[in-house]
Amino acid sequence: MIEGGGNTRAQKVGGLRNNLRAAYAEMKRDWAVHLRYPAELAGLVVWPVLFPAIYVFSARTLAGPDGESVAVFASRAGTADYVGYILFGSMLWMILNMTLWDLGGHLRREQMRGTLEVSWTTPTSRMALLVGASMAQITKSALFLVMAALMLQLVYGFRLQGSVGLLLVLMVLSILPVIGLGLVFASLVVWLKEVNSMVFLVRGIFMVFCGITYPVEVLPGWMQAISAYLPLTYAIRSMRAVGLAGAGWADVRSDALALMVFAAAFLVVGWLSFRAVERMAARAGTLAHF
Amino acid sequence: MEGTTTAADSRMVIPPAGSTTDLRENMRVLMAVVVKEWRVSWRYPMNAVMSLVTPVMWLAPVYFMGLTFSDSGEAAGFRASTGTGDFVAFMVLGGVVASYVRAVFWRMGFSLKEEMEQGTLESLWLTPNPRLWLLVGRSVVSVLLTGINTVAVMAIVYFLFGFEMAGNVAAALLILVPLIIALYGFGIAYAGVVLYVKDANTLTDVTSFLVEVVGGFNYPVTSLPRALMVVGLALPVTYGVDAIRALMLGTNPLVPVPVSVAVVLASTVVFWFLGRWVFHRVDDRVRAMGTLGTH
Repeated sequence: MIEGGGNTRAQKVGGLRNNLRAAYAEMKRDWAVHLRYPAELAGLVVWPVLFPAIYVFSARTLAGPDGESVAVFASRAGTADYVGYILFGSMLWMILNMTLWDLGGHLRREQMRGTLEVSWTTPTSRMALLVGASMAQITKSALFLVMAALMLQLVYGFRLQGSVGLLLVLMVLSILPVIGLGLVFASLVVWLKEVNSMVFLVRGIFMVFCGITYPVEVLPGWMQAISAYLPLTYAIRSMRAVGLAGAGWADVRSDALALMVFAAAFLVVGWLSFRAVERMAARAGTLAHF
Repeated sequence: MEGTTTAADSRMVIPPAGSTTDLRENMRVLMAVVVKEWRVSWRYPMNAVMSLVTPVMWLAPVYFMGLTFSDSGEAAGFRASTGTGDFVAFMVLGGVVASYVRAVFWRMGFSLKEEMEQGTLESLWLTPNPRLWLLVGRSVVSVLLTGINTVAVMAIVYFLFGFEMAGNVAAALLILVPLIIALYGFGIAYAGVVLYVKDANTLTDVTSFLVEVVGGFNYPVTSLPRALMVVGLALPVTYGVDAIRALMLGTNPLVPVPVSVAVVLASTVVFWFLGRWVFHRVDDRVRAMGTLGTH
């Protein structure tokens, strides 16, 4: 149990260098645990192909054997490439899903294993530990994207149209609010002590409202209003514009700015949530309860 | 410690997996498992709520994608592919069968893994109850819960998205019931596999999803690339869902409905014999290795 408001300033190991070392150690540890489960690593190859399959084959059926409805789709989506359209949406949704399970469940898993209380009572900065876990998540997402790009090219014959550099910038801007959301989620999970139902609910909201397989314009007005408050909506739209139609910075600037605002807001809320959970744990002494 | 010798010590030893005792005793075991599983399931109300919400969330992207491909409410491409323009009804019927497939993998197979982790499997297996009946008890609860869930989800989808079904419900049920029995026969074999491999999370996740991809629940298997279509055509469940749709929605069947019915009936017999055989073999092996309590 953490007593007396956690570590005192005198006990804390301060300094940027020490904090970076702690974050690096945490990232390394997270990766070491990840690599101990080769079946989960195989998922990096299998899921990018398997997950979009149901949507891709559903779209193929909806398009018709001779492409009867492709023109209708193109008039609404702005492209006749419905496979690429779905792949962009589903990849970004999968990164969100992965972050919710991995980073969002990070503190809860530590709690269940009995290691959270132990690591939080060391003089290491708890924020440095969380930054380390976030870095592990960012590198996992990057690896996932590389594997996904290779597999999608191989299996679905997917070809990028636009600037790879611009896509990378948009990808970084897209991942940051997701990491912020993961931090909020991680804190909430420690408080509510329930991961599965919360992941199902949050990822379901993003799945329905962000247009992973369709343009948000086909949604009813009230649903479009909700989708405007979700970062994935902007991430999917801008990356599709660049990757499928070769759009430039000027075309996606407003979406990129929106993603920057979401990134700043979600990371700050994530940090505040984490601090709130720290205070709650210190006050109530319930860190080891699950 | 295999086999029973005398009536006096029959309760003191672990009988083999296939031991046959009095039917009445077996029914008592079955009812005890049913009551226990039923209680456990309803102790997590949030899970019950999410089991209603999740299928709707999975269907919503396909529904809105359907709207994107439709002109003035008419899905011409889908009609040309399947024989019906009502893509919601098509996917709802596929979803009914898919929900049983998921239940077989997760509620039947993977639940043994949960018992392992909770440390109750070994104790349960050490009782003199026939283990196959313990699994049948799980199957009964799983069928009931999935049935209730399916009806509730259909009602929600009807109110949210709307669909029409004017076909022969009784005939469709006559295909669905043996299909469910066949699936649970497979589930018993899969439970044996879970006992053996232990780290079954990824295996269950990927295999269950793969069956959903190739089984043609959201689309006809003819929309799949040839290699996947061959796999889909090798699964009895593909014929079952295809025949149910043909009867309920008047879609173009893959093969004549009587042929699909014959495939489903044959698979019921085969899967139950195969399921029992695999389960008994694995059970004997796991007990010989003494790894039931390790995970």
